Amino acid sequence: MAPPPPAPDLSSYPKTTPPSVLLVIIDIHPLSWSLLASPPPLPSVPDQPAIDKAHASPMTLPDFVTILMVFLNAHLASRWGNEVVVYGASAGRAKLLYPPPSNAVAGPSKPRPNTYLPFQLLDSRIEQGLKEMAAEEQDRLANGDVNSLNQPPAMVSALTKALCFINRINPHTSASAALVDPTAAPDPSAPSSTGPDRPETRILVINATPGENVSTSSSSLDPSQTNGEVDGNVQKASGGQMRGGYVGLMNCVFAAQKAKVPIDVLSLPPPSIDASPPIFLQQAAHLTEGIYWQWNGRGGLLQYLHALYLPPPSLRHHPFAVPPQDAVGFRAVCFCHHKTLDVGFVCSVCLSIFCEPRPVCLMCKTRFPIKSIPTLKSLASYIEPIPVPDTVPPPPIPKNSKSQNNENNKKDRNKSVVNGNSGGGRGEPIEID
Amino acid sequence: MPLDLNYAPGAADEADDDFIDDDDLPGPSSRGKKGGASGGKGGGKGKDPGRHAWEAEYKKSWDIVQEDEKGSLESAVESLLARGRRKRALMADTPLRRSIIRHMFIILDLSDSMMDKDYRPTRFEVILGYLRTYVVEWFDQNPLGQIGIIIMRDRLSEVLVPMGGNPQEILSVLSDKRKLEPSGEPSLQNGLMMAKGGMSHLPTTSSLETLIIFSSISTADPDGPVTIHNVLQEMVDSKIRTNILSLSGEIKICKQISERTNGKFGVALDQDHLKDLMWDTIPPPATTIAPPITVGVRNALAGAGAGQRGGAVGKAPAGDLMVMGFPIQLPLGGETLCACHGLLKKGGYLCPRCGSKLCDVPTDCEVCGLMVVSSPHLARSFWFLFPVANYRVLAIEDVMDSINGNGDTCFGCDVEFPDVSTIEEGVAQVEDGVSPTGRYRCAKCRNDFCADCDLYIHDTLHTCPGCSQ
Ligand SMILES: [Zn+2]
Ligand SMILES: [Zn+2]
Ligand SMILES: [Zn+2]
Ligand SMILES: [Zn+2]
Ligand SMILES: [Zn+2]
Ligand SMILES: [Zn+2]
Repeated sequence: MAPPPPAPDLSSYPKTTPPSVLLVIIDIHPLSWSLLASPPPLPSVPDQPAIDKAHASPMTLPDFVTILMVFLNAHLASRWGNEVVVYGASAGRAKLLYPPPSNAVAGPSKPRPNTYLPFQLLDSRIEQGLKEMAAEEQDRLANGDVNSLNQPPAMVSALTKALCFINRINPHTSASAALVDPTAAPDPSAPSSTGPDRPETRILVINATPGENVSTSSSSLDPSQTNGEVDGNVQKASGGQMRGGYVGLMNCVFAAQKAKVPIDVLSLPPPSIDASPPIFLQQAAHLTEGIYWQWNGRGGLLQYLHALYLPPPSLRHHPFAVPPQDAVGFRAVCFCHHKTLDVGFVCSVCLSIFCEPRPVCLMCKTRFPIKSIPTLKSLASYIEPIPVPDTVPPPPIPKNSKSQNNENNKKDRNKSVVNGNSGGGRGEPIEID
Repeated sequence: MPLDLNYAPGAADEADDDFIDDDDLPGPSSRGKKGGASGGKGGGKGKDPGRHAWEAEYKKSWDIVQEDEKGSLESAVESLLARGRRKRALMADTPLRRSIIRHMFIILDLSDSMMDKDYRPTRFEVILGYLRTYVVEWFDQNPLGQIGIIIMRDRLSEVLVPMGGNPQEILSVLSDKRKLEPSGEPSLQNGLMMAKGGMSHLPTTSSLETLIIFSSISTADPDGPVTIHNVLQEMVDSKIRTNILSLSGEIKICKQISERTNGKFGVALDQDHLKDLMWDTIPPPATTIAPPITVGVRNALAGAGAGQRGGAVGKAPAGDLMVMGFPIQLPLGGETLCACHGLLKKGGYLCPRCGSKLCDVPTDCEVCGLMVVSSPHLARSFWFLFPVANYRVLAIEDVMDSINGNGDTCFGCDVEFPDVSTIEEGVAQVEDGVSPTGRYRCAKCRNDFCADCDLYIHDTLHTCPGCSQ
């Protein structure tokens, strides 16, 4: 076993932390969950017997909600004043599931004497909310609205709603800030307005949809896209059509950065379902200093939730530690076809991103020199995407299934690994520094 | 003779009535009187003609905030909100072309006049304080831009910070007050020459700008064959937009310089106005794509700067397509050799074309020459391209009409709207831009939002929760 960690310096630990508001966005897209409920068999990892023994565990939405409930109750129980807000994101729509609007039912019909009332309220209301949302989906299906079910989950809408909620309970930059003398606060590093009782907020996104999702697939279904492009009316068309898209997600990320709200991401589709990680959610987590983690499909979700996502942001680095984060692909999405790009063409005036050279910028109508187009084409051709290198070196002692799992998963989905490019350094997920 | 008619749409009509106290005896005693008339916008119009705005006593912004009868700040905050809404309404919804890659020299007057105490504690301290926040905010909105700082004192000019993209570097220089001691007189000519020289190597496809903060009332330029007018001509030829903010009233040469270079000229009336003027230069300069022909005198006045600018640039906007690569950021794992310095370092970025490791982006790849930019850098400016249209204020009748339509909670934060039936018609706020029902409706997705969310969505989030479904 590992040597015992050096005795931590208790005096440096924070004496108290502010109450914490956890906003959970749960992806309840029916198609995604049907995939998760019957995942393809996991590849075996003969060199890691400990992991190989853990069987692939199908995950259904009810099972997961039970797990989530335990996690949320743990959050409520860990400090007085902690709060939970839950949003559900389904195909093309997002909805607040908890807390219920105050004019709705005041509480469970009969409080159980042996249950802490907030737990009971939370459990019953989330269950009810999920059922309502599922019924709505059923209606949509019954009404023959099949196409709308093919839309990706409305993550961006849910994120904007969560950020609006945070803005209401923790107004940072709005009117009250305008009353403050700017010369008095020239120090941007100072944690402005973080009083002891000001709740800290964080967003946890639970993604169930495989693929790069978020933006890329939504618009391919949208017939207005091609029309817009043909008549040069893309400015208008794409504004509406990029819904739930890359631009919206990035705007959410910047707003979250401003409000110092980390966006944590737990991605459920294991590598056997999902060859590509949800890179834009990963970017969001990276840019807001949240935690990104991909489940390996071998059970243990409750433990993951508790170990990774329970500590509030103020305790994450000390005394806890965040799990090592993977390499992040900073790829972008083109405005013309919503393709994910490694190399793109960018308008020098408005910075719109396109996947192919064109004579006129679609967004700002700037004309580009036509004679440079062949050169540009040749500059961007013959690009083979560089595989994300395996940045997790094998741990010296096979003792920690988590980091090993991750490593193996990555190896599986990335055959052409450049191992020399990595290095040591990624330790165990939880360690005390 | 208001001085500020020539610039900044929106600034002209708020500057003189919001912040000027028409009372001859400002100070605590005047607050009661002002409070009585609070909410009376435009009261400042009837100001004593013998007093100029800059002669008025300096007032902190919180002095203006009045508590209402119940002792709450609500009404004051409300009018601030309304002001923000009006300002936004003035921003045209017409598509704008913005120059996003910007290079700017801030030319700072460090003459003796900066020690004037008309701003508390001194002009010098106030401006340094503002500049520090300005630089941070500027880089936030112009992540691909670069700023340099030139100072003018003792009739000389000196590059304090060379053109660069690192706000921390600028901040550290700006926090060292001893090196910035004001003295002597400024020479505008030398300052402009220095700025022009510092930008001569830059491509004209990026926006070249200077922001001059001029505190003195005259410029002391060198004798010789070259005059400031020659320098001005050179600035015009090399398309360097010059914005000048004067702390001491209107100065003819300054106005001339900014007009000829399509910049803005502004006279700061007081500390807050100075801040407004400075902050007006933070968003990338815009040109309307199709200049409006005639849209009324008011709009024409407001759009004058933009129109001229469009004319100066010429009919066919020049631009280039750039090939950019989006890298992979490595975690802080082990140390590897970087291509740019040849040093062993942790982290870094992989060029997507050749796979060599670079220490920092944006940069040109040392190996294959590809411009490597992290996509969030680009994404910061996307909200200019996909702005959220202003929400419509819903009157009581509108809400009555559409009872069945939208729920009674805000689509953003899910707060409940006030019950329409309890709103008394007579008491509805007359303040323009503020909804009596507390509802604001997105025209596109037809969802209703509360005032807080309306402000937040348009100022910070830039994405409509309803439209992104
Ligand atoms: Zn494309
Ligand atoms: Zn463009
Ligand atoms: Zn290097
Ligand atoms: Zn390269
Ligand atoms: Zn709201
Ligand atoms: Zn909308």
